[in-house]
Amino acid sequence: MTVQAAPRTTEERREPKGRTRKADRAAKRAFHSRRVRPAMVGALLLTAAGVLTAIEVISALLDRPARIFPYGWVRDAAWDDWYALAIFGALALLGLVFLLAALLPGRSRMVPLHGRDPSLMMGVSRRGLKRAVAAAAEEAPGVSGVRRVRLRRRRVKVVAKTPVREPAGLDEGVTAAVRDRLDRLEPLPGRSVRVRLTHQGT
Amino acid sequence: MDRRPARINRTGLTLLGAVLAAAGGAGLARGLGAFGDGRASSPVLTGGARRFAEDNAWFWPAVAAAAVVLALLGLAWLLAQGRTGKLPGLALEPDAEAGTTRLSAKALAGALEAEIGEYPGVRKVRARLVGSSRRPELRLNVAYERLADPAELRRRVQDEAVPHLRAALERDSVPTVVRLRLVPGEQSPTVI
Repeated sequence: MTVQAAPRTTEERREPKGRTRKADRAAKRAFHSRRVRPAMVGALLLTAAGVLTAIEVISALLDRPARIFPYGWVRDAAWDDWYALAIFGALALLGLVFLLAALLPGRSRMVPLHGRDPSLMMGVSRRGLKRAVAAAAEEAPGVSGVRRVRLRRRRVKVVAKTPVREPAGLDEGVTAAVRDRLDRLEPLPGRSVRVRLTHQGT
Repeated sequence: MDRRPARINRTGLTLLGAVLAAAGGAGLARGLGAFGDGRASSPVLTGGARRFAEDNAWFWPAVAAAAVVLALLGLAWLLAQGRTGKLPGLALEPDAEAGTTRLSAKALAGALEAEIGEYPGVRKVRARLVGSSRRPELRLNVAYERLADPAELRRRVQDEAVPHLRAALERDSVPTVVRLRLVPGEQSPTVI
């Protein structure tokens, strides 16, 4: 059995719209992924390629070829040789991966929180938000434990255990408890709550 | 804001990705016969290209220079990942001629860490003042335990700790980024 609840409008939303919207935008932006890892890979590759080429070319110019990288075979390579194809294919693939890393929004471990002040940006870790939701559900009447909490962009799904055989109506209390907790924390964007109760034994 | 590396990374990744994908895609297309089978089986390095390199004395030095520039670019990109500069100290009255009051950023951060560290359930706090003396910014990392309530933590940071810092700096607003992180940990039962 599932119960859904739309995100409730909270008191803060009645405040001057422009200011809170600005604050929300600032908070969201502050916790966007910065793409540090793909950028590190790209920068390292760029540096390595540049250094290697420079060493080879300069050492060859000085008549003392370093030959760190065996490039003699390039002389005889044709465009449709399998290794030429493999190299170009790998380059194209790498380029696509970098492009995707640049264009996709990436994933942040922090969830921004709604605030009133555009200069104060707060975020809570995904783990922390999940734990808060689970704690709220655990404290609701008729719940003996929480099996799973799933955090989506606009929805929170909770699967809770209950010792009650006929849990009709119980899930509404759990939903209200979770929604209450979310309303105090106010993650961005607002999330609706979906609760499923399963019998303890199953 | 601390978003400069984010913009650099995005631009750098787009440029690098586009160049690699274009070069790789073009080579692959030629090898697979998109421009005709005759051109597909021709050698990559033609005699003409090699003669060009031999005839022009500037060719190889130019390649070397380009490689060095690329390597430096990569290095600069790597270094840009580092954090924004930590602020050693702050001048409270930047334009006063009679003398200025200097505040140690470390002392301020330490006081803030101590204050937030007292909140229930907080394991570890790291406060850093970054930016410039004229426009200081605060980065706050709060690690809390399972039993703490993040909503309560958030309220106290927002209503108590940050206003205290603003008062100490004599500013109406100090741009602040707060990260509340739940850390796993043994729930040591306190026995008195």
